[in-house]
Amino acid sequence: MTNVLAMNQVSYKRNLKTILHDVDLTLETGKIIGLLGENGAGKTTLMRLITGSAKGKGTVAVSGDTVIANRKSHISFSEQLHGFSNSTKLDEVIAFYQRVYADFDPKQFTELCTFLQIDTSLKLSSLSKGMKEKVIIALTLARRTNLYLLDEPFSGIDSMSRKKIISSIIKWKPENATMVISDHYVSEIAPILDEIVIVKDQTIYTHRPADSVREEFGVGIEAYYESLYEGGVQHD
Amino acid sequence: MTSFGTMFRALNRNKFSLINQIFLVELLAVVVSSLWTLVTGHFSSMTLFYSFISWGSIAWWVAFILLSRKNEQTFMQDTYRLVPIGDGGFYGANVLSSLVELLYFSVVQAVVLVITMLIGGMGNVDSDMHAFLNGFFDGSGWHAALSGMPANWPWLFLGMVIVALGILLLVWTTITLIHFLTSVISNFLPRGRQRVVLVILYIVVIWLVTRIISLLVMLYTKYTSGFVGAHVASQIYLAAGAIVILLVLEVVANIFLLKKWVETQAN
Repeated sequence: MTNVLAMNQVSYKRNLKTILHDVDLTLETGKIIGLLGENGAGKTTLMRLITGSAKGKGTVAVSGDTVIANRKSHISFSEQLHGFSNSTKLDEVIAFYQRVYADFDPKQFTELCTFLQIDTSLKLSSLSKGMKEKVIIALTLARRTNLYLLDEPFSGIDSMSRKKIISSIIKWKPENATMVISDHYVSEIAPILDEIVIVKDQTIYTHRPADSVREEFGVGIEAYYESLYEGGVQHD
Repeated sequence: MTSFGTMFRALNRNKFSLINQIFLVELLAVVVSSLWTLVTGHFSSMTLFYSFISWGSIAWWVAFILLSRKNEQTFMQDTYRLVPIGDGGFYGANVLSSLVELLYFSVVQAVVLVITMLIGGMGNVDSDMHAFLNGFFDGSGWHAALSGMPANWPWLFLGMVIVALGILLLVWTTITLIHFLTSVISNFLPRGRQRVVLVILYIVVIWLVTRIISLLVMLYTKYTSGFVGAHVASQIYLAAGAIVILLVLEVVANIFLLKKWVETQAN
């Protein structure tokens, strides 16, 4: 198996505070990875370092590319659409994605819209929080890339829709692509995870196959994850 | 990878609708103020022309300010920064799309002014405007205007266009430079009292950038004053040269900051 992501000695500081240090992380192709950690642990920062949105020290390679502009073409990130005003229609957002991302698959997007019951004639301002998250998921998964970064994609989505999306996520992911999901609904995403990466103490605390947690510790992913924090030092 | 042309078109689309919205608001203001003039009994054939002149100049500044704001927002948003394009291409597409939209707005204004001037001037045979337009159309006005101009007037005109466009771009690149420097420096300062720190930082950075620019202009003037003499053309071209040099320096600095230091706003 080849590696889709290789981070080597990556560190990041902001406002005189170390957010992440000495991050070494290698992810293989074709996996679904749960990125876990408490609020403020640095999960979003880790994703932003991969996309190049945050500037840290060390090297990051995605599909072998270390140059940020090239790296971006291999990554689909669940961006919050802040660049569009609330009066923008979804059709215009879709047209933008189609225009700037050569790997955007309109057919897959239409299928995702049908599956998630998204009305593309609406304006962004008329979407509920959950519906906006669904749009973001659809836009992110409609691209055909090597690495998908989903940063808390299910916040605001009702539990029924959340379970429906999680159970079908494997269907939307290209076979050789890797998907990193950062989420607090650990028990709900646990069944689809191949590996877990836990961010704690400003670095990668552990990175292991999900099955090994169940086999070695005899507990579920959520119980294992929570046990790491019991009595541990809290970082915000 | 996304091409420069694709990025330019994508960014231009947003700005195009912004400009059209400003123009629609301007039209509304002209209609309302003209109706008011009609009600008060002061309406003349030139009312629309003068109304467009006054509202048009306000609208132009609004367009300029909103495009400047849009430029800076675009640099800091993941929606645009995640597009796979080099930083130079991204920077160029953003600034160029703003310039094109401002020129489009200026051309629309000019066309509207000419139309309202023709309607107003031709509508009143006793007016000065009517005489001016007659001279314009029978060619006598042209001959009189051109005979008073120096022989190299096309080059002078070209020089003035370069200076005008250069100043416009220079204002944008300077705003971006101040924005980028402030954003980068604030990342290295402690988190507490960020608002106060940012205000102080903006003042310091603005002061520093304007000092450096005026120093560069002074140096340039000092070394080129010997070539100028009394020729208007050489003065214009030397000014254009100074603007182009400053512009290149600022663009290089901005692209470097964008590539190495400037982060987007987090989700």
